[in-house]
Amino acid sequence: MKFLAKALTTGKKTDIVWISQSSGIINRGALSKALSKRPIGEWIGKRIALGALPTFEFVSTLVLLDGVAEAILLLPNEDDAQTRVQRLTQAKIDFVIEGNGLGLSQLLNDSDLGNLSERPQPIQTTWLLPTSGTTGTPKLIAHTLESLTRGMLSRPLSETYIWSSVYSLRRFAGLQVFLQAWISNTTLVLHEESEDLSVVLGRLIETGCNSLSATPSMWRKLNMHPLFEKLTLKQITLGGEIVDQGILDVLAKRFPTARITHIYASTEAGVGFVVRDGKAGFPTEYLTKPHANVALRVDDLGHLWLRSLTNSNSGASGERPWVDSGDVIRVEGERGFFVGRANGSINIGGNKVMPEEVEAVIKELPEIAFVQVRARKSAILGNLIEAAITPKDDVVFDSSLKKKIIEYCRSRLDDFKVPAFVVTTSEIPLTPSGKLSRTSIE
Amino acid sequence: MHNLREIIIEAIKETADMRGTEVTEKLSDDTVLLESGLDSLGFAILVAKLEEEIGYDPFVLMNEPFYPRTLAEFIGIYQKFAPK
Repeated sequence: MKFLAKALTTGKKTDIVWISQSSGIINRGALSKALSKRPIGEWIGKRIALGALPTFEFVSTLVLLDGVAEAILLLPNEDDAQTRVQRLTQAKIDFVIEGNGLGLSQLLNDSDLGNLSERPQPIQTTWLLPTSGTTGTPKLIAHTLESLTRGMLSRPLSETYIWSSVYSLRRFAGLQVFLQAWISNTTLVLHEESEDLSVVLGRLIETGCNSLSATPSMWRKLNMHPLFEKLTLKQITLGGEIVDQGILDVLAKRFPTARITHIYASTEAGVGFVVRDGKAGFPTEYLTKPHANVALRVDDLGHLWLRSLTNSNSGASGERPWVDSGDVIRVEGERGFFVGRANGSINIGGNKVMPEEVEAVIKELPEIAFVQVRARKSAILGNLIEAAITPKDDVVFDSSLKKKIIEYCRSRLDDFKVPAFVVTTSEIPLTPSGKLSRTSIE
Repeated sequence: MHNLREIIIEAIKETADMRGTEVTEKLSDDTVLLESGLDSLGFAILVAKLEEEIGYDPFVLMNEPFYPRTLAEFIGIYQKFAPK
């Protein structure tokens, strides 16, 4: 049985190093000692939710409780009171750990040695992950450590890598980066949630982070920051949103020697696949030939379905079910492209528009640094399309730029998909998981 | 309410321009809106544009839906629902 703390007793104790704001540099040996001093009797077989916590407390509590608790629920920090109660009830939670947490960071400086082997026989802990909440009602997806780490490299990676991500650790993508670093003994730079971008970038530069994961929206935001120039990256990973050619080109130009990878994954389906050829979309051969142990197919509505081909740990026979990703695909020649979320479309008098499709067209214009397409209420047609853009530094937002955007959209898109309004925004609304916020304005 | 009429006619021209259509040569009271160069999407955009400019949307304010046919009826609705 896999459980996180296993690596503390079997792995090389000095290999993993976390560098975080509150706790400085922490290696696996120090963590092992700290955790062994925390009695765990009260958590055995319980259902536990993790609320807002300092990052070190959050990850070390995960390590402590995996294999001990019956279930761990990762509560999103941005939940309102009502959603929180709903989630706690739905998941039948016994305890919520939040605030200063279990005080594990204080144990780091304690010189007494504890004994980790006093842990009880490990049980299979269920990890309950909220979906990213870009659209629709909040849901919880049940995972195990096994399903979360499926397809990950377990061999130690080169010691020259220093990883980080700007994802929330509570969400699928951020958790994946942490787990991959954990099982492959890689140095990981951690940040506190909702830290200022300057602080995060400063830490990445100072620690020599050379391998960074973020959403395309986050990369665009990073690219607009003056400190971005100072990063030295050899591995760039994008995921969580549609990856367009524009951001891939910008990153390739800025970091000519870096390997650029984009990952398609969903909380519902687990890991999907990776693309490394520097082009947006994915080769259509993935649809016929399973890639990275995931079979793909596209249905009549253009929805992408996924099926994991790895055997389940429980030894259940038979195939795993197909899962509808809710992502809509368009095939052009040898390439599949993501069009948008099936349930995220804007209804314009009966015509459905996926905001991602319009964003993709506007992003092609060289003047645009950032764009968000959203619904604007209309008493006549239900909704109209509004494009909120941030122009590049040296570009002025004026009526001729508005006109250019609208005309360009008109030359490329169906009539009803052309934005009725173009506004400018300096505030780029991202969700805690680094994705473009899809909340429409009222 | 001469001013309101001018604002509306200007907004119709802007909307048509943005939508890449031509407005009928001369807009008069009897001009039928959907024949003036605006389709239903253009009409919706026009209403949203006017809300931005003059601060209210009569189609949200009205209790019973009424869809104006001519320019005069359209201007009339904006006059009727103008904040007192």
